[in-house]
Amino acid sequence: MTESKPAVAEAPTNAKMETRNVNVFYGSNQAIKDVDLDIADRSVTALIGPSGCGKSTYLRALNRMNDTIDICRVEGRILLDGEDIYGRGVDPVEVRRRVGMVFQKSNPFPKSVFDNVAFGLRIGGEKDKDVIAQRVEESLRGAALWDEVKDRLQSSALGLSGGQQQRLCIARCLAVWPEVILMDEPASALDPIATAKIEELIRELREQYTIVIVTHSMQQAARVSDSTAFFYMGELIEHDETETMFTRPAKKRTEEYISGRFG
Amino acid sequence: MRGHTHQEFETELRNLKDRLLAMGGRCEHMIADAIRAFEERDEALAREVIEADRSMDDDEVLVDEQAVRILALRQPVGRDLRFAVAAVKASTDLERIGDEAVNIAERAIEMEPTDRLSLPGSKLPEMAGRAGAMLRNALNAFVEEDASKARHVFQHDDAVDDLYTEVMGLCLDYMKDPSRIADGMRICNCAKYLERIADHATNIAEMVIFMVEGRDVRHGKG
Repeated sequence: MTESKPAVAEAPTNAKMETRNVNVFYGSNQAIKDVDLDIADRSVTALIGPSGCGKSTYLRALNRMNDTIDICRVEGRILLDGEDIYGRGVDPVEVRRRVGMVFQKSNPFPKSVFDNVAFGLRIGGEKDKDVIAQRVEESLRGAALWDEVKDRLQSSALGLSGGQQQRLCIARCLAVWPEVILMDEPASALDPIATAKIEELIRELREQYTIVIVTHSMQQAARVSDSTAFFYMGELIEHDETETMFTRPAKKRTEEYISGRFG
Repeated sequence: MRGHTHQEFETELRNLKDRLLAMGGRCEHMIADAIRAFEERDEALAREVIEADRSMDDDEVLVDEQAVRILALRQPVGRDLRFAVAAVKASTDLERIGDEAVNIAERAIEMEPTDRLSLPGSKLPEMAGRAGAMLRNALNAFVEEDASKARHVFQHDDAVDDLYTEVMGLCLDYMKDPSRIADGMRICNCAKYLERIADHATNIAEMVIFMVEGRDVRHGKG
């Protein structure tokens, strides 16, 4: 078993995103080293690895969220439907619309439930109230939240439970019709039932969206994802179907990590 | 591979492995004692074998309980998962080997008292030696987590099968004298029990390969 080259299962033929020789630096510190990874369309890809392994950095490179960090530099090619999202003339705001993000801690705006979901549409220039109302409902239904909030759309989003707030953030993301959704530990602060709802939602969303999720929970990765990528010290060690990764991974370091021997 | 961060989990896995190996060790003794009881018409020894099987039954239940507990509470993955699954399956094979040893011991008690073994009966110790060696080798492969050693076990199964066929042929001749039919049938049965023991040892070896390589080689696969 060689440990030098990453063990990567055959690349999906339906890659929504392709990353080639991706390196990410914070100043002189290299956080991601030469990562080649394809993200299959309409599937869930889980990124796992110990703290500081670079999985969140890699995730944030997928929608140019790292642009907001001055000392951060991204090298290599990150393609969305074959086009480089870091290419000249590409609008990062449009990239982030197509590649949405849900964070570890739910971050609803101190506004009503309705206004939270409508926010992206309005700043995108949508003025038609009927269109906005329709998209808000669609998005809340898509995030499996509609039935719980339809009678209090004008109440403050901050009054929702933690799990509901996280689903609201997913609805806010869905409202602008993204193609890819990045999730950075979306359920780590939630109780088991709220976590189960988010996980169930992720399984439903994959019918229409491409999802990349960072998680510290091996069981969560096993439950929700179709493929799993293991990162260690900034390198992609192994990427394969989730079932294979959790039953017979090719690399010793993957085995040691997923079975709780380090990390 | 390094140990688990959770020392308690590491201890649980080790305890499970130790219990399985203890079962395996007892099986080896039971086979050897049962066949010696058969050779020497030693009824007391045969009864010891029958008595020893009780703890095999208890151990099978305990192994399953420990493995289920690990599956439920530790949610093992990768090799640990395969080990837990292999442990449950191997414990069933070991328990059945114990049952086969008991069957031999019971036939030993039933045999007509004579001074020396008949020709077909004299082949049984050799069969028992080979089947016991297969079990020992499968258990060593399990301890050492060595798939190639496990594969060696398969090769010996054919030799046991050949001996079984040979004993059957000898028994047919032996039973031409009607007064020998009862003992001849007992010898045939013992040969069958030993052939089954070799099959169970083969199953355990297959589980070792599954545990080490994650490959299912049962039924000619892999």
